[in-house]
Parts: sequence; structure tokens; C-alpha cells
Amino acid sequence: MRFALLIPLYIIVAVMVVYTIRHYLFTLNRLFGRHRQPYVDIGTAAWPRVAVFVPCHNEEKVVSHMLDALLAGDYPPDRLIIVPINDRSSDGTQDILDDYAGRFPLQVRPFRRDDGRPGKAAALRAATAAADADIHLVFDADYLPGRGLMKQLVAPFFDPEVGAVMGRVVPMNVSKSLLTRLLDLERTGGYQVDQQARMNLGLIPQYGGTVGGVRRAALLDVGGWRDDTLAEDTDITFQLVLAGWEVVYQNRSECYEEVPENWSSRIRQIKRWARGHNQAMLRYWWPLLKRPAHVRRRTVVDGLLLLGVFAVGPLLLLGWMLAITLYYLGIQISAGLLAILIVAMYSTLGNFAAFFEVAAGARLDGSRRRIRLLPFLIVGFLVSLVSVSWATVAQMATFWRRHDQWEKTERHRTASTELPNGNGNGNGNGHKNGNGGA
Amino acid sequence: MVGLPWTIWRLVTTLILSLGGLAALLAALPYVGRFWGAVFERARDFLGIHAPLGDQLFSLPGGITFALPVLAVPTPLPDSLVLSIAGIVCAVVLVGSFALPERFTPLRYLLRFLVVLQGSAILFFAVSRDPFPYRLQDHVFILLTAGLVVMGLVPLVLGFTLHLFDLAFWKKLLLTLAILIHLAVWIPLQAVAHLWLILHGTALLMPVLFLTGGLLLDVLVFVAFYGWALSWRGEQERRETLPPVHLGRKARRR
Repeated sequence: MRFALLIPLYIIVAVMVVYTIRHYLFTLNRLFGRHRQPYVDIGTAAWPRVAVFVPCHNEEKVVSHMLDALLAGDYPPDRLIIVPINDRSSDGTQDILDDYAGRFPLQVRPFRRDDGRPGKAAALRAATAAADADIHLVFDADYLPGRGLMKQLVAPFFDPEVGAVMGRVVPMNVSKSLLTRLLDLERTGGYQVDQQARMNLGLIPQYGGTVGGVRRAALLDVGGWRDDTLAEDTDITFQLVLAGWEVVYQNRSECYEEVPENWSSRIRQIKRWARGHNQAMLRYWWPLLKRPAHVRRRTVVDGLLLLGVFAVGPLLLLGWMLAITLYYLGIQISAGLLAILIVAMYSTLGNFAAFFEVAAGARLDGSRRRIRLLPFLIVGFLVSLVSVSWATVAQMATFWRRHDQWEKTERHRTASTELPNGNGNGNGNGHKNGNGGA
Repeated sequence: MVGLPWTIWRLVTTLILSLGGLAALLAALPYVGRFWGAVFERARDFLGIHAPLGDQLFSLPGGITFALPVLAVPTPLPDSLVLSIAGIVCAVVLVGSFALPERFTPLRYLLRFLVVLQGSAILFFAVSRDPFPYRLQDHVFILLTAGLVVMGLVPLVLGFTLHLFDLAFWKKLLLTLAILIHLAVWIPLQAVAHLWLILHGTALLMPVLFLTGGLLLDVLVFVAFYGWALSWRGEQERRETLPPVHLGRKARRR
């Protein structure tokens, strides 16, 4: 009985240690490694035709800010069309889009959907045919791209092997609540360290579904956006990698986003991410493990760990349950110091690498005072752990059911919300030192 | 892109602080044990706990042996009345967690987590035919030894995660000492608090205290210090903000 419980606990500890090492190596690489950002300073070029897709479902609070920001961009207007996709909004979104289309008929071409499968992935799939531009950029409606952002995101596509590009997301409503401050820290660790390290190491930077884009030819090569997924971004990332395309990350291409300001909104968001990511895990772990000839071994390892990110939560919870059961069986004392060490590593240091990553990212951003919030991250971790585990269990219990609905994050912006300066006048430097001025 | 320059000096100071810190801690362990014994003695008298104070030897690989204090107290087990009261309290906390406003969501989750843990203890004492496998004095001893493990890891973990940054040597040294001294004071007080709570609340509180009031809090202490230290100004930033007159003759010449 004891062994039956101890062995899975050891396995879980081992998985945690692997993720710990991964976080740690990424952070070391970001701090001391050579940085790859080969495309960022291209300013003059024969810019390709670009279509910017903005999926909208009841976005009247934010969509005009987004369109203004895009129209103020420095991308050549004759090479750019903006396609706001109104997917069955029931608020004033369509009126706003019609107004913009009337004022900017050559550039703003709304795409309206009243039927078909709902959701961002399906909306993108349907609208792809509406634009034959070479490059398809995608932004969520609450984002505020800076003036030069589109050129920065398009520049990597001059490399014919690049299939998708991802920029950096920077929260604009950081000071709203403890939650927004914690999310700001998490994003910092995720982009400034994690994504850039993957870029440096030639692994798989993840295309995140917004502040990024795909090459149309690559998209068509893999069959277009899948509309039966909740995470079309993770899905397309792995489809492209498996098909031999490169996914790149541009740390200096920053764009403001509105992060959830209340916990219920955050919980819905992370549950959706978990379900979508788990879908991708089930779809791509085996094709990745079979390793197509062009995919390197370390890319496979990184890809599998990336796919498993949202499985760590339920695994950790299971580990806690095992630890509690073992405690009642009296294992704690008989195993002595070794058990203490293992529990110490598993319940604490296993997560500490994440603290290290976040702190390093914030320090690289030059905004070190916010690192004092580090211990509060455990608050966010607890909520995420439970939410992700709950979403995973519910997903397993209802795996046959399709999620044909818009899973949308609540918008908090009001008419009086002050928008950041990055909107329309530069590169969206979200932090004191930008993140790569040097 | 911004990164951190790596220097031999930083490597040397990292090794000195990590290995030197660990060696210094190992050398100080007998004194730490004696200090903890004194804390236990004072706390016992202050809290009115009637139990003899003894020592239990603790050995580390390498022949380092030292004594940790032990208060020989009986382990109070819950009777059916205590179990019923605990069950009612758990139910009230659970219901209360649902009544909390949305902005207290993390607190809601924490309360429910504690209720589940406490519920498991109630279940164990209500239905298990096996005796509870821990004595109170063992619980306290494990708490102390686990705290020592955390203290031993502090210099090493700081070496891997903090000393890599370009903070001044004295700041790194100060932080290492601050965490170790804080833990050296915190851990026996934490153990005494557990002892007092369990004496009054019976062994029913032992699981929840062990799983959430021990290592988890020790590590949070560490993370808080770590976050504070990384919010300090680095050496490069300090140099950049100094007026030229403070830069020294060589720098001025350059």
C-alpha cells in the first residue's frame, strides 16, 4: 500500500523537478545567454501586404481604441487592410465597425458572422478567405498596438522559413488591483524570460493568438485555423512546427492588453486556456514524440513540456492528496530526513524556479520595486491550481461535448479609462526600460 | 537586449557566500540547538506548559551531531465532543467561504483547502481503527528538523538564484544572514505555537498544522526576503546614478 502511494508521489516529484530545471535553465539563459532577435531593426523594406484580423464579440467598450491604434500605425496604408470580425455581437460593436468602414473604406473592411460555429477560432477560419494578404496579423479587440508594432511583427516574415510571429504582451491596467499586479508579474516571467529563452535556444516560442501573426502560405499549408479548438494559438503553433515552419518571438514588439481585473474573470480565462491547451496536448503529443525528421530532439522535449504545462496543476494537486494520505499512514516519520527533503523540494522549491523567473524578468524590465509582491504570487498560484485542475477534471468528464460558444474575457475599460502612451506613438514600452533598449 | 554581464568576481562571491554560508551554518548548529532549547524553556514557562525539557540528538552525514530541544508532552487525542465541534466549525467556515465577496476569492480557496484538510483529520479520527501515527513531541521535532533543512538550503538556493545578480557583496551577505537569523528565531517560535495549539486543540489540528503551518510558511518567509532583496538597486544602476566625483580617479580619467 505504502509503495503504491510512494511511487506515484516520486513520479510527481520527478515531474516537478523537471519543470523546475526547465524554468531555471530558461532564466539563466535569459540572464546570461546570447539573445536572438534577428529581425527587430528592419525599418525600410518592400513591405508585404498585411491583413490585420480583430475578432470581436460584444467589444463596444474597446474596439474603437483598437482600430484607432491600428490606423495610427506606420505600416504603409496601401499595403494594409484591417478586418474586424464581428461574430454575432449583440451590443453596439457593428455600428462602430460600420462607422469606421465608412470613414476608412480602403482600410477597414468588417467581416460579419451571424451563423456557423461561434468562437475566435471559427471566426478566424471564416474570415481568412476574406483577405488574400501575404501576412495575417491577429489582435484581440482590447489590445493597443504601438505605432511601429505592425512593421516589427511583419519583419520576421522576410525569412521564408518563418511561419508565425509572436510579440510581447504588456498589461495596461496594472494598478487596478492586487490581481492585475500579480498578472503583470506572471506575464513578465512568461514573456521576458520564458518566451525569449525559447527563442534564444531555438526551441518553440508559443504563438499566443494575439500580438502576432501567421504567414498565409503556412496557414494554408497546415489546413488553416482549426475551429474545433479553444486554443487556436497553441494548436497552430504545434501544427506549424510539425509541418516544418519556424515560430519566432519578438521581445521588443510590445503591445498593451487589458488583464482581468476580478478573480471570476481570471478564473474563466485560465479555465479556458487549460481546456484549450489540454486539447492541444491530446492532439499533438504523439505526432511530436514521433519526431518528424526536421524537428530536433530538444525541440521535442521542450514541445512536450510546453504541451504539459496545464497538466502540472492537477498533477500537483494529486501529489498533495498522496502526501496527505501518506501522512496519515505514518510515512513521514519512517522515511526520515529523505522524506522531509523530498517534500521540501516538491512542495516548495518545485515552485521556487517560477519565483526566480518572475523576479529575473521584472529586474530585466528595470521595474524592480514590484518584485516585493513576489510572495503574493502564491495567492494567484492557489487560485490557478484549483481552477486549472477543476477545468481538467471537468474536461475529462465531458470529453465528448463540444464547446460551441464564445469564451470571452470580460472587458473593464470605460470611457474615462486613461489609455497608455504606447498607443500610437512608439513601440509600446510597457516598462521603465522597455525591455531591450540595449 | 538587456541581460546580465557575468564576472569572475561574482562567481567567486557566489561560491564564498553559498559554500561559506553552508559551512558557517553547520558550524553554528550546536549553538542554534542551544538557542532553541532556551527559547523552548522560556516559552514553556511563559505558556504554563507543565512538561520536562529534554534533548534529542540529531545527526547529519559527516559526523555532525547536535541536540534539539524536546518537550515531553502527552499527545491529547480528540474525543467525540471535540470531533463534533470541529465538524461544526468546518461547516461554518465552508459556508462562510461562499459568503465572502468576490474580491476575497483567494481567501475563499484557502479556507476551503483548510476545510478539506481538517475534514480529512476529522474523518481519520472518527473512522480509523489504527492509532494516530504521530506523537506531539515527534511532530515538534520534525518541524524543527524540517526547519533546519530549509535553513541549510538557504545559502545554496540563494547561490543559484540571488547571488547571480549584480547586488553588492555586503547586501548578499546581509540578506543571507537576515534570512538565517530570521528562520533561527522563527522556527522554534513556530514549533512552540504548534505545541500550544495542539495541546489545547488536540491532535486533530496536527495534520493541518503540519501541512500548511510548517514548511510552507518557512518557504514563504524565504520568498519574501528574496523578493525584497531583488527589489534593491544593483551595482550597475548605482554606478550609473552616481555623480562623476564619486566614480574614483580611474573612472574620471576614462
